[in-house]
Amino acid sequence: MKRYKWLILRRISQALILALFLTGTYFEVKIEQKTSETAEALNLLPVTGLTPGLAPPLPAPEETSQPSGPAWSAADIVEGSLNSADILDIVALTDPFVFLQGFFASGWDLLETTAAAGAAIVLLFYFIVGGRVYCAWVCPVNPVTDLAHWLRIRMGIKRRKKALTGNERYLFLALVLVLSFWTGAIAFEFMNPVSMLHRGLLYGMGLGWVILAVIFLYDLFIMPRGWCSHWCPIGGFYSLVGRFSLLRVRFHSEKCDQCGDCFPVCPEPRVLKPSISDGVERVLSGKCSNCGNCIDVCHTDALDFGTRFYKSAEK
Amino acid sequence: MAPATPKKRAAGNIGRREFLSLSLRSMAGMLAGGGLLGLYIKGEKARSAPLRPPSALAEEDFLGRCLRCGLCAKDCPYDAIRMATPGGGIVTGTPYIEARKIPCYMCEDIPCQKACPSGALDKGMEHIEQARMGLAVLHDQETCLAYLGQRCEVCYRACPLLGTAMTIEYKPGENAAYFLPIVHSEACTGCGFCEHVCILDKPAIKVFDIALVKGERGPHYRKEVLR
Repeated sequence: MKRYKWLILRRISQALILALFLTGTYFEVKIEQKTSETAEALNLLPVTGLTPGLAPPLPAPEETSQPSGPAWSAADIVEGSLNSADILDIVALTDPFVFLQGFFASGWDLLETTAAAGAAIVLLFYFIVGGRVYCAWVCPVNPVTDLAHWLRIRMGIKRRKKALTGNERYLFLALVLVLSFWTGAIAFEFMNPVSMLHRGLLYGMGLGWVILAVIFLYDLFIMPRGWCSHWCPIGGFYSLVGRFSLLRVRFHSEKCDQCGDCFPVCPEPRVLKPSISDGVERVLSGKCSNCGNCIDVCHTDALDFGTRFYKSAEK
Repeated sequence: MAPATPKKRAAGNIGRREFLSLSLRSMAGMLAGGGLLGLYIKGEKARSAPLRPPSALAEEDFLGRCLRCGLCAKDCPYDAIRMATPGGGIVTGTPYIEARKIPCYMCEDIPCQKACPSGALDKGMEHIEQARMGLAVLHDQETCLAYLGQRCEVCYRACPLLGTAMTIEYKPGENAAYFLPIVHSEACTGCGFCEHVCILDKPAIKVFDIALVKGERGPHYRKEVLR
């Protein structure tokens, strides 16, 4: 169980977030607030009891009615989708990458909207917990590509040649922003498998599964972890955020017995290397998604979560 | 001074020649892929003209503003707003209304507009009567029962702005009088009730993209002279 602690927590997080959106979308149970109900009843009493014409003037509504409760119903905890959402109709959350594309596509007006505040909140959150925490803990495509990778290993499919570096995502990111600017439309949304899957589950899938199948097959047969660790521009965006983020995987070199088990479980090429081999005590690459695979697999507990400011005692 | 020992190259690093070659190939790939994707997006955008929720920006601006979140669809009390799916002919993830199934009920408080976080549904529109989702056009006079001399008028009765957006025009005919439903573009919001209720198997009246159907006279034509 301990060996799968972070994996299980990640799956719970992914499922919980999806479940919150699903309940907000499918089970809309409007529950009237008790206070406003009784207030209504109070308002009606003097009228129903008396003959018309003799009725005393109704008390002013402010006197009897309680301030009515919030307008949201019990099930509307989270509504919208990963692109932009509402929590309890109070807090707006907006994906900063979609927002950025919108900004490139439509200009300054977007900065004066609720979405701007929502994007700022989300951005701040990922600056704290780690940019690509989105990828490992929130994104619904992650279980799909994880499954492809698990199958790939089970089927013993070997990669022949290292054709990609892991920096393709930044190219794609730049391309998507340029395209948004050029076309005046939020470009990545024309092909975004993440929002297609997530929105698909909430509002209807259409042919969205096709693009997911493409990614699944690409990861399974062509490029290991091809989508999430090489191409996805959302991951590219959050990698850039992650360069400055606070929460990090720490490495305690004194406990490490150099078994090397952490390297193959890491979904990213090369993010662990500076720590394990070159003695940097924290994983500082923005590409690290804080997935915890390396922590789970380490049998000497040489890895754990901490902040980027960590320095080991010996130095 | 001791000769500098050549630095061991880390496994992830590459030489200058490789770097240049990789950069060139990446740039070429970007241009090729980007050109194709750009053409695709431009084409999709040019063709896109579905019925949008009330107060939506012009389609040209809408696709750059709409975050594809679904909050408007979620808050539509009549489930009239749907989210476009891939392969459906409407830009993926954008909200649209299929009036034949569920038209826009023109809520006074415009909940879809309130829900929109990005201003793709423009908060500047204050009254639902100002909405211009599209324009209803009685496009098929060959099947419309009113033009066959029947007193159908179902679309007229269903119009939420009956009397202003739609009127009945009386026209004497050879054997009987015609009672023709006439849409007035200055008042029609494009809600789609007429299309929704049309009793034919396929409606003779539909909501279209305004730019598609609305003509424009040059300023040198004067209405009073033409009459």
